[in-house]
Amino acid sequence: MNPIQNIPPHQRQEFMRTLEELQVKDSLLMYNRLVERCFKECVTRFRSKKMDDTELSCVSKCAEKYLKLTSRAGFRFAEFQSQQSGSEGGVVPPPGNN
Amino acid sequence: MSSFFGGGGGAQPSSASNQQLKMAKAEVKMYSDLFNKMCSLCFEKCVARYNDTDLNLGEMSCVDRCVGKYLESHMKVGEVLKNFEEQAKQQQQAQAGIPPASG
Repeated sequence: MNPIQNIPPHQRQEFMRTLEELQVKDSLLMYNRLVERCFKECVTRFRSKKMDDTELSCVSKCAEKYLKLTSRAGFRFAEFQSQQSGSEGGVVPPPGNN
Repeated sequence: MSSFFGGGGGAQPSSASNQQLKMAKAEVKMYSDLFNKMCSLCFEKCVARYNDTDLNLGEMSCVDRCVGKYLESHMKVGEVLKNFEEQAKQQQQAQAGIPPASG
C-alpha cells in the first residue's frame, strides 16, 4: 500500500518529484472543477452583470463545504487504507480527527 | 512521459527498479484519481444545500458511509476483474493446448 517502500533509494528523488508535480496538477484541476461545480449549482439567472449576495454566499459555502468534505473523506480513506494494510504489517496510524 | 525509459537501450542493470518506479507512479496516480472521483461523487450524493459552510451531522455520516462503500466497491470490482482475467487466461491456455497449472 505504501509505494515508496518498493523504490530503491536512488530513485526516490524522482518519485518525490513526480509526487509534487501530481499534487500541483491535482490542486489546479480541483480548483477548476470546484468553480464549475459551484457555478452550476449556484448561478442560475443572468438578469444582472454582477453576482448578487445570494449567489456569492452560495458559491463560497459550496466551495467551503466541498473542501471540508474532501478533508473528511481523506481521513476516512486513510483509516480504510491502514485497516487494509493492518494484516500485512507496517501500519501507519491515520491522522485522527475524533 | 516515456523518455525516462527511452534512453540507452539494451539490457540495463536498473531496468527492474525502473519498472518498480513506473509501478509506484502509476499506483499513486491511480489512488489520487480514485480519491478525487470519490470526493466529487460523495459531494454530489451527500450535500444538497449550501445554507451553511460546515457539514451538518447528516452530511458527515453520509460522507463516512459513502467513502466506506465506495472503497468497498473498489475492492469488489478489483476482485471481479481479477477473476475474470484469470478465467480468460485459463481459457486461452486451454485453447492453446497447454495444461493448466495444477493446484
